[in-house]
Amino acid sequence: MPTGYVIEVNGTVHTVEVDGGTPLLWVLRDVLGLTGTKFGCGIAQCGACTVHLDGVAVRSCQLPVGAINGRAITTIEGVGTTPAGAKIQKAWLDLEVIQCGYCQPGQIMSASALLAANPQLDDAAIDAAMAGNLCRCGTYVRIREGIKHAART
Amino acid sequence: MLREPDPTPFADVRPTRRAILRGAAGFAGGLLIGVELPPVEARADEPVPTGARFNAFIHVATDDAVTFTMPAVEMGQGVYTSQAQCLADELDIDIDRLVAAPAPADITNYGHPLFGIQATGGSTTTMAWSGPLRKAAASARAMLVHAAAAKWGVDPGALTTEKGIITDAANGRSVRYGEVADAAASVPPPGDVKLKNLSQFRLIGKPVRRIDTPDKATGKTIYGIDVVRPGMKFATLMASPVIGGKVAFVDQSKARAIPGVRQVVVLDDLVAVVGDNTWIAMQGLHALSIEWAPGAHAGLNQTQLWNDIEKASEGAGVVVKKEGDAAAKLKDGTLFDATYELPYLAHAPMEMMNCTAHVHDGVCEVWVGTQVPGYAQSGAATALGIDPSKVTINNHLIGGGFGRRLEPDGVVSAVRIAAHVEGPVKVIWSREEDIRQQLYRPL
Repeated sequence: MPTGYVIEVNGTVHTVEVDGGTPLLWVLRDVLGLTGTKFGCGIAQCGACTVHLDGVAVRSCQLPVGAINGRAITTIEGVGTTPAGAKIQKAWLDLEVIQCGYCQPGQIMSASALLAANPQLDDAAIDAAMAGNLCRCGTYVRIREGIKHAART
Repeated sequence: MLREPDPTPFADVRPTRRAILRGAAGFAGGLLIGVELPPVEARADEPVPTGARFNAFIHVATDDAVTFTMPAVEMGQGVYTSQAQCLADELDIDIDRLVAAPAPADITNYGHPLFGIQATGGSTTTMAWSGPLRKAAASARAMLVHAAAAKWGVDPGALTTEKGIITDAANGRSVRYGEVADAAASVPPPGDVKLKNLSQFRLIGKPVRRIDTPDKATGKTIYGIDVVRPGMKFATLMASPVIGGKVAFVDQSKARAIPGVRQVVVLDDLVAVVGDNTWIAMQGLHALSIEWAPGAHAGLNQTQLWNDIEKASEGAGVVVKKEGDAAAKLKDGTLFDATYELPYLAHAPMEMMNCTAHVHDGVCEVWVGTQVPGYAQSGAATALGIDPSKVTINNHLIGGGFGRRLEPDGVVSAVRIAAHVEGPVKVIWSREEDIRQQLYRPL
């Protein structure tokens, strides 16, 4: 039966009445109305649902809410308040990385976690970190340039 | 046996060569494709409640906010920006001042000038719409200038416009668009308007920032899949895995035992589970035991399709153009012989199929991202047995189209499910179902 889980999202504490096995993705989207985090596959193959858990990029479609254990969640709606997130979002606009944009919340979350952890980036490091984020419009080249652009700022 | 091609909405409306040429000739000669610009009454869903609507594309609020109603939907190709360039340039406002709104289902005002239906596709938006949108904006600008001229008792020709301000230089006065919007909207639209020439463009043909991307970078953009309605439930579905197949039997017992599963909707060719959130609905669908009666196409497979195509390719082809002596030329030199085969492929947009629908009191409200709002409206109406005027299509930005959203099938399935649900319901396809039910690109 559903019980209350206390989660902290973008600095705000929420109590959500869901089954502990419910993936964070659906808690964010359907319970809290934070729809910036996207559903793309449900099996951690596309990266559209990427969020930060204590600053580390994770796939929210595979993270049961009952396994979060108080760790801080950051989503695309909140990542702009972090230095790396703000730099990535600005770079994405400076270089016009985005097309349809559906995968980009996940791309931005992966990229900002990468930048925060490692400001010295080369193509290999970027490709390794971003390989799990699919883009059907094919913005990969600009994503790579966007991360380098952000790293220089 | 090859599956009979579906009568797709797009197939019979591709622009003919003649239509394209006619359009192109129109631009070259400065005679823009004519669109009627009848006065349009303010709509109930007007984004800004004050101010005036000049035509189907432009609304100017008393606080100077300008809303552009976009006939072509944005799905990543950048047409909100290109349409805004056309409108803002001829209207003489800054591109960053405008509000972009998707057009409702309305073929009279938003029918594609080349296709004759309401559709975004075929890389035709700029070619088809730049002329009509420029004309609409120039017309609105002329009406604003006329209103200011009447207010001041001067000749409209003596006034200039820039960045949403009308200036009477001779008398050292100016007025904002918003201040004369109400008066201007009742000025008869000019029958003929002068469009800017190449040297006068400030936005058209110039690099500008996309207008859709700032919200996309911060997660604020509401795609169809992000729609939230008061009291909304969530559903997911499985349709017959074989085209033409039917539901034979459904064991609902395990699904109904899951807390939060509200309803199992069994239609002749699909089954949907409705729950308190999407995850619950998905768990419910997994828990169902569905038996299908696959029907006549049960044996259809890829090998057979290839065989049929190979056999068909052995017959006489269609001569599209004959020029010179190809047979002789082919004998004269090295012949390169290759066979290219492409399998059926899913369009697989990142935003998988989804549609939110509310069927109530003889009407149907739909929230979706579609390339064909008119077909979504008529498809929903036919499925429900109601008049299309009773179906409201609220269109949204699209998380990838690639042609997949040129078909209204997802909307039709969603409204058929919604007809059995109390209150609004958001129907989301799983990725597996999205791929399984794709209308594949041709072999």
